[in-house]
Amino acid sequence: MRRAINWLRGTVTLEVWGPFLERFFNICAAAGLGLWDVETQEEHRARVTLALWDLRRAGKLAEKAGCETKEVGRGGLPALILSCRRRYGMAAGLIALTLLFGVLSRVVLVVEVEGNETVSTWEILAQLQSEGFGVGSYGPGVDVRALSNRMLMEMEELSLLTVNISGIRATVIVREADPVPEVADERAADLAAAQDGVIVRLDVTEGRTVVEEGQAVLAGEVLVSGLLTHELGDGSGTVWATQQVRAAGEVWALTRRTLSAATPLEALVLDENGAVTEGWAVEILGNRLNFYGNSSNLDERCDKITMQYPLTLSDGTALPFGVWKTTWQSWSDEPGAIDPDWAEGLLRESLTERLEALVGEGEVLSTQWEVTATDGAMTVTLTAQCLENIARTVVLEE
Amino acid sequence: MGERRWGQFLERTAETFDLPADVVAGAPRMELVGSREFWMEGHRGILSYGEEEIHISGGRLVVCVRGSGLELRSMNANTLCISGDISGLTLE
Repeated sequence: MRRAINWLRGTVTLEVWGPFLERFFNICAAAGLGLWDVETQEEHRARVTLALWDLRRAGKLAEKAGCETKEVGRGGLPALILSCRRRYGMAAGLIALTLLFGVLSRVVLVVEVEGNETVSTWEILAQLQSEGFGVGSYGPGVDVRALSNRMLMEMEELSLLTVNISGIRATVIVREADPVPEVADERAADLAAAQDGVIVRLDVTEGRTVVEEGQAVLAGEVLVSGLLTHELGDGSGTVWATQQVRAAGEVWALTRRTLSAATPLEALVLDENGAVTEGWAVEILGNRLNFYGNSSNLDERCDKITMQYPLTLSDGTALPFGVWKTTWQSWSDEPGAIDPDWAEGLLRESLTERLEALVGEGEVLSTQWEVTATDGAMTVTLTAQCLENIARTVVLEE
Repeated sequence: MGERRWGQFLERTAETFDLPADVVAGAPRMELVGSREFWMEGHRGILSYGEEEIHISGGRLVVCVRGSGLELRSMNANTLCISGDISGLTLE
């Protein structure tokens, strides 16, 4: 530490000679001048090192002690600066480097998000970016409180947000708001048929059943009524009171569903021999610098593939510096024929997924496929017999 | 009471009450690190300086450092450091 301080304030080496060297040492010490690295050259002659700013006083004290002095060298930062006084370029470069380092060390290069569970990190980062904070922001210039307030106003899913900036790393700590509890719908309702079918099983937990097993029903027909009636006990059938409830239960029925999908048998295909163009770009602090011309005319008829090669730290953290490679693969304008088997497989897969989504917890008992190709298009029709719960809640009007 | 006797009295008092003599009596404090480094706090100046012998005033006593290649490593108003091949210390 002492050496560092001496280097910063600058040192000077003096050659001192005289009949009483020790007297010079004592006078200097008494006057508060620190001496070090005293090398004896010969009898009554030595070299001493002292602080640069003590040089003038040391000369006077040497005269007082009957000694003579001669400066033999200088060291430390002031000497280094003086040696650069005519090297303007070097001095300017040194100053620029120092300033650049000082500024860059305060620019946010890494943004991390902690504490989020349901709100995605990308969502938070995108909102921060739109609020003017992100990679490349100057740390000391960020008003954390204002940023936090704006973020909380924009993102209602968050209840707390703070940003800790340490050097180039910013840590965004969030707490998510408690989710709004679901309110159970308790309005009076019927259970109606969502699909035509033949009822095979009734599991009613609330309401009055108005259909029976084996009965065929049409879509929209009431299966379980939410309107309960209370009759007099004299057997006359007189209704003395009605009550509205929310009908609940499951009504399982055999249904028949018909789904269809179509696709053209011709489409534009990628020309494998089309021209391939490559372009490179450099990303600096989130800004992209392209080394290729205007690519907008290429994008319309090209397949564009962009690969990003970010600069990463040893722990895998990506820095906002990197290289982008973009490849444009030309498309042909000529329509090409689509393989019918491939198209049929694709449509069958799509229809199967739709049917499974419609049936839900039920099951598909049998299927029948029909494929037709007319006017350059293929149509696939799926007819399926299913066992499914057709009960659908229909709220009663007040 | 002379200055020398007063100093001795203070040193004895410090010894009796287990107090640091360098603080109470202003006695010099010396430290020898191996045989290559000698530190002295509370010196009163160098009386003679040479590569083989350095005499330092400690107030009521004179410290003589003997050896070869002796050098004054650093010195200020209170502390000095001597380095070199130290062969002996004498209090006079």
